[in-house]
Amino acid sequence: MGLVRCFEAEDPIAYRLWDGESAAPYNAYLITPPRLYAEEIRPAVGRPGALWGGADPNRWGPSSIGFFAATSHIWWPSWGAGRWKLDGQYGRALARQSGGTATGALAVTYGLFAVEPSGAVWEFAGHPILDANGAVLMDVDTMQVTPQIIRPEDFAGHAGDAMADVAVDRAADRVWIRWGANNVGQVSVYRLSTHALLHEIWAPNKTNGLVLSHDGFVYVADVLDWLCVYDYDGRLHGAMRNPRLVSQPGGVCYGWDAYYRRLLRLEGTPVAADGASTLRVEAFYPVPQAALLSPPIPRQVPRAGRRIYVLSRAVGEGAEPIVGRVAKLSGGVTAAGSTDRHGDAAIPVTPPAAGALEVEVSIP
Amino acid sequence: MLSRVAGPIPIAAYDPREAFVPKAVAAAWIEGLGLVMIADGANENAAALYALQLDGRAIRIGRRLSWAGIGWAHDGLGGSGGWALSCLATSAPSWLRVALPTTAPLEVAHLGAAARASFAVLPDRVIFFSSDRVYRLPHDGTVPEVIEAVIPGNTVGDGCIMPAELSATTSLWWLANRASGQLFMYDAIAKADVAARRTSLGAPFVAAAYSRKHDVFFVVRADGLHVYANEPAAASVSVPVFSSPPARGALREVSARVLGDLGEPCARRVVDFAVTAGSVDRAAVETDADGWARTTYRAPLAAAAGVSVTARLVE
Repeated sequence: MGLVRCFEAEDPIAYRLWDGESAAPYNAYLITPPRLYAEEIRPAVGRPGALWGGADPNRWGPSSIGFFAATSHIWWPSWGAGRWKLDGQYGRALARQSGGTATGALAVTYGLFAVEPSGAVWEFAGHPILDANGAVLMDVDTMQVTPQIIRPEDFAGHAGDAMADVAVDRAADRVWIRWGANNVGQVSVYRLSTHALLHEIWAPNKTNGLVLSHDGFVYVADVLDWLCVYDYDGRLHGAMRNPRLVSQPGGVCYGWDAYYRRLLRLEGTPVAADGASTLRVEAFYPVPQAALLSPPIPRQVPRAGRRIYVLSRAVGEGAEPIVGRVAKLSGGVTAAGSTDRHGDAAIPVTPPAAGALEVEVSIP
Repeated sequence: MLSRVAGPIPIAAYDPREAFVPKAVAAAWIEGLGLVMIADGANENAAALYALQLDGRAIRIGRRLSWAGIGWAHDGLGGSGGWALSCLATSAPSWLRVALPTTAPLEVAHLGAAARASFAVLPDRVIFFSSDRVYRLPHDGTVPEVIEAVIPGNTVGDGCIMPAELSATTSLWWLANRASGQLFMYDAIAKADVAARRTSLGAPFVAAAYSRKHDVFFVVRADGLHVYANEPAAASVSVPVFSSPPARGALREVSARVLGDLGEPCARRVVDFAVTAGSVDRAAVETDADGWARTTYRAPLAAAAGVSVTARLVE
C-alpha cells in the first residue's frame, strides 16, 4: 500500500499573538524578538498531541477536525492545554479553546494522548498525580482529566509497569497497550472489562501511535514512519510507509477522520522566525501505490528465436507487492504482462536475432 | 558455472536517511517481499532486517534484534517451506520463526552452542553447512552438532543453505560456499550431495538466495546485486564422436557434448555440425538434458581420406 495525500488544511494550528504589553513572567523566550506569539504547543517526546475528525456540521460543511495539545505560554501557570477545531472540508479555523490549567489532580500535564473512535481522549505517560503509570480519561470540553483511570496493576504481571503507548475503545471493550517492559514494537491487546490478554500485535520498530478507525482497524505507527494495519482480531492487513524527508523536532501524530474515512496527520514542524505556528493538518488515503519497479531481468539466457520470460517486480514503499498492474516492455521488442499476487510480471519475449537487445519496462 | 543474466545492480537503502550495508551471512528470497537480508555496520540500522528489491534498493522491514543469520524451516508436510530467523538470545542461541513484515515471533527453538548464519530446520533435525561438511543437531540443541555428510571437493568457507525442491517426499537444498562461489545440491533424505548438480556462482559473494518460483539465484557482492539463471554457461564442446567407425556410404550417429566449466551438462544449446565430405541430416541440433547433440552422418559413396566433422556451439 501507499499513502496518497488527499487534504491539507488551509489554516495552520494558530497560536495566540502577544498583545505587546503584558509582561512575561514565564517562558519569556516566547516573546523575545523577533518572536511575536505568546504560546506554542509543548509536545511530549515523539508526538504533538491528539488528532481526530468526525461529523460536526459547521458553516463550511458537515464535519470538523479536532486537535488537542499541551501548551506553554507566558502567563500563569506557564502551561496548559489548547483545543483547536478546523472544518473538515477546507481546513479553515473554526474555534479555539484554552484551559487545562487547573492544578492538582485535574491538571493536564506532559502526557501523550490517545483518541477513541467515539472522540473521547485519554492521556497517558505523563500525569504524575492521578494515574501514575496508567491512562486517564480526559474531558476535552472542560480540558481536565476525569477520575476514570486504566491502571497497570489491573493487568497481570504489569504492576508498576509504564504504558509507553495506548489505545482505548470502550464500545468494543478493548485496550491496546505497549508496555515499557515489552519488546520493541510489541503491543498487547486486552479486554478492557476483565483485563484478559487477547493477543499481541507487532510493529517493526518502537510504536509511536495507535490509531483506531471507525470500522474496526488499528493503524500502528512506528518511529521509522511505518504504518501497520491490523484488525481488532489481530490480523495484519498490510503495511505502508509514510516517510518524512526531514526529522521533525516535534514528532508526528496520527488520527482518524471517521466522516471522510481518512488518516489524519500532523507533523511537529518548527515555528517560523516570528514564532508563528507552521502546524498543518494533512489527510491521506491508503491505496496500492507502486514505488519501485525493477529493471527487466531475463529468467533464462536470451537466445535468438527462443522464448524466454523477462521478470519485473512492482512493489510499494513497504516492500508490499503491487498486484494486477500491466507491465509493458518496449524498445527492441514489444510485449506485455501483468503483475501477479507477488508483484511479479513474467513477460514472454522471443529475441528475433542474435546480437544485443535493449528493452525498457514500464507500468502505465 | 551458472549463467549470469543481470547485474551488477548497485545497492542502496530506499530511504535516503539510511545507509544499508548487507551483512555477510545468508539471505532469503521471499516471494512477494524480496531478498531479505541483515544490515551490517555500526550505525542505528545495524542488525535490522531489509528487503532488497531488484532495482537495488533496500527497504527496512524489521526491527533490530541481534539477528545473526537467516534460516529456513521446512514443515515436511509438502509445505512450501516457511522461513525462520536465527537470533542471538540471552541464554542460548535460538531460532525464531517470525511473521513478515512485522517480525512477530511465532515459535522458538534452539541451535546449540553457537548462532548459525544459515541453517535449515527439517521436521526431524536442524542442518547447516560449513567447510566441506553438513552438520546436524536436534531442534532443542541438547546434543552438540555432528557431521551428517561430507561434500567432496568443497573448499573451506562458510556456507549458505537454500531450499531447492521441497515436497512430502523430496528435500533438496542448495549449499553455496561464500568464499569460493561453489554450489552443491544436497539431498537431505539420502544425506548426500547430488554430484550431477554441482556448479558454481563464479566468484565469492556476500550473500545469496534462490527463487524456486523463478528458478534464478540472487547473489550480492560488494559491487551490487547479480542475478544468475539456473542453467550452466557453456564452456566447451567435445570433439564429435561416431557411434561406430564410419564407412563409405554408411549412416552413423555422430554426437558432441556441451559442458560447463565444472562439467555441467548444458541442455537446449544449439550445436552446428559441418562436414567436409558427405552430409548430416540435421546441421543445427539442440542438446538434450545431458548436453548431447546428436545427428546422423551419411558418408560419401567414394572412399575418402582426411574428412573432418566439426561441431560448433551456436549460442
